[in-house]
Amino acid sequence: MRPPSNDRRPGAWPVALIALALAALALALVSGSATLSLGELAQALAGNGGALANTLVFDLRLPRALAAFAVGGLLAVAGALMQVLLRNPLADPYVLGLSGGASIGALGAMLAGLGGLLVTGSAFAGALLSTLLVFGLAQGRGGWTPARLLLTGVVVASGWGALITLVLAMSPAERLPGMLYWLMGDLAYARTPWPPLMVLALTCVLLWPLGRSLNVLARGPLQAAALGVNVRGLEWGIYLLASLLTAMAVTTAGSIGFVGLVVPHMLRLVLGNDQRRLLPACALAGGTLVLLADTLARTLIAPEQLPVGVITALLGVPTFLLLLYRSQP
Amino acid sequence: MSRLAARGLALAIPGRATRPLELEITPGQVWGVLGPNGAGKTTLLHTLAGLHAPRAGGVFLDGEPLGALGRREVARRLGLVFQERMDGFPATVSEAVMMGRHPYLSLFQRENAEDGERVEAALSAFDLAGFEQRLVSSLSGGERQRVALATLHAQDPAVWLLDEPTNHLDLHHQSAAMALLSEQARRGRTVMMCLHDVNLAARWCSHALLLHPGGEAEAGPVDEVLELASLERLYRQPLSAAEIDGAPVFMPRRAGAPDTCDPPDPSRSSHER
Repeated sequence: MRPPSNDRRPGAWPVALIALALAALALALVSGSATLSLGELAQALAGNGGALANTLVFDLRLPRALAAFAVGGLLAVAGALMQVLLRNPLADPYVLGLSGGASIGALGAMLAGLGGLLVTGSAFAGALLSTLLVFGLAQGRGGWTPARLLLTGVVVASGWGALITLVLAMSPAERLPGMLYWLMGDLAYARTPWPPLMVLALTCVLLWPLGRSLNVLARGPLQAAALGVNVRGLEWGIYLLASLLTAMAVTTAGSIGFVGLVVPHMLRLVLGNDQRRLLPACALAGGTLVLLADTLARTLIAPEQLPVGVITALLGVPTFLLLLYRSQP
Repeated sequence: MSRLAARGLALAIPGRATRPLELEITPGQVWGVLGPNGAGKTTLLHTLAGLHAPRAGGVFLDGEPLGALGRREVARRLGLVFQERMDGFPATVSEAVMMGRHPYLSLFQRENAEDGERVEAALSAFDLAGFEQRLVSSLSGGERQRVALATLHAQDPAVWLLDEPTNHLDLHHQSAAMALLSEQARRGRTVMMCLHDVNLAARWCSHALLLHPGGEAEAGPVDEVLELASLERLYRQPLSAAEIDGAPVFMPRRAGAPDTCDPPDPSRSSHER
């Protein structure tokens, strides 16, 4: 693995990532069933657009694009935090079964004929339940180890998978398409982008002073304690935060896999593992990735839409396998 | 006043009775902790650092109970080099050594030029100049060991605890590391290290602690404690002793060798030196 090359131009990465995010946003706003030119987009943003352009940009595409960005950022930051917590680059909210718990919560609510906020609340409860289950069981006797936590997460995730299949089998046919799309992640469900965006912004502010402690924690809990870190408090804090971020993301857009795995991994190759760089970079790059994936998902086979999770999984599965293949025994 | 003290300290080792331990360690002393595998050397070091709760008794740092000090305050006064380390994530050598400065920085502070100078000094003290941008995971075992030692050097605590500091080190770097630790002790630091090599303790330590698996311990100046008979009892291994460069050297006795050997003669050794 080559050493992080960032030290030569320390200020370059935020500019590059913000530029990428803005470009992805512009692409998302012009693409769709009716394509806008960049000039039309600029006019609409400046307030001189036509009625159609205004509707397309402000009512339809911008809220969805912002929701996609927020969800991606949340998932990537949650993944990066879990990787520090488990000291394992394979950790991810999807792999650990958190998304599965949220999904079963949402599907259960849909099966019961509930809608709107109740589906959201139920998904949130599912994600938290899954987190408690995974971390509680992985605690076992005598404290948890990263390996036990990862295995517990994988097993719990497959348990959720079975329950999801059961719910699908019991569901009336007319509800199935909505459920399936929800399972693979679908930003058409995002009602308003503001709650996830706010959570993402607050998280970045909250994590700002903790970056150096997280760097030390990544070297192992004993080493961190010997260097003055309150390990137990920090570990519980980032574990709760990561669960909250996942729950927020899943309740906004359904279960979108592998973002929390792919984005921190890619960024680590370029920026190194300094959490003070990595976490804000994850927020930006994760957002950009899901934004691009969602744009692809709604244009590839237009007017039909693909679930965005299909695109992220197609990227994530090879990355996960490559990571496993390369990891030391 | 003692810098580091253990009062009635019983180590918590599952399924094993341990006897209370009394230790008074003052600035300038270099302690070697010796004992067979599994005697509890690492547990002792972790307990003295406050990372492992004792079964009974307490540890006192500058006269204050360790538990009454915050983790950060302890880390400014006491540092520990672990025997095993995790390198799961990529970090460059200078990033890893800079972590030694963590206890001195507040939440919103970033490392400043002085921290950078301390890291540089630590790197050159352990022959790591030029390694700054190398990834720790790409280094050899001995080089990683030197990164860990340099991190403690950058942390610059009053009490240096080291778990097998010479692991993986070649003879030159072993000797350089021990000389540096002695130098730190001369400057008023307190050093305590677990060693599997009794000869390193004999050559470099001022004091020794023999830790028996049954929980009993002998502590004192090396020339009183490092006796052939006590070491044979400690390791349950017949030993031969000789003297080289003014320090005793102990070797496992070869099967069939004569039962007795010449004990080191202090008067002759000082003359020959």
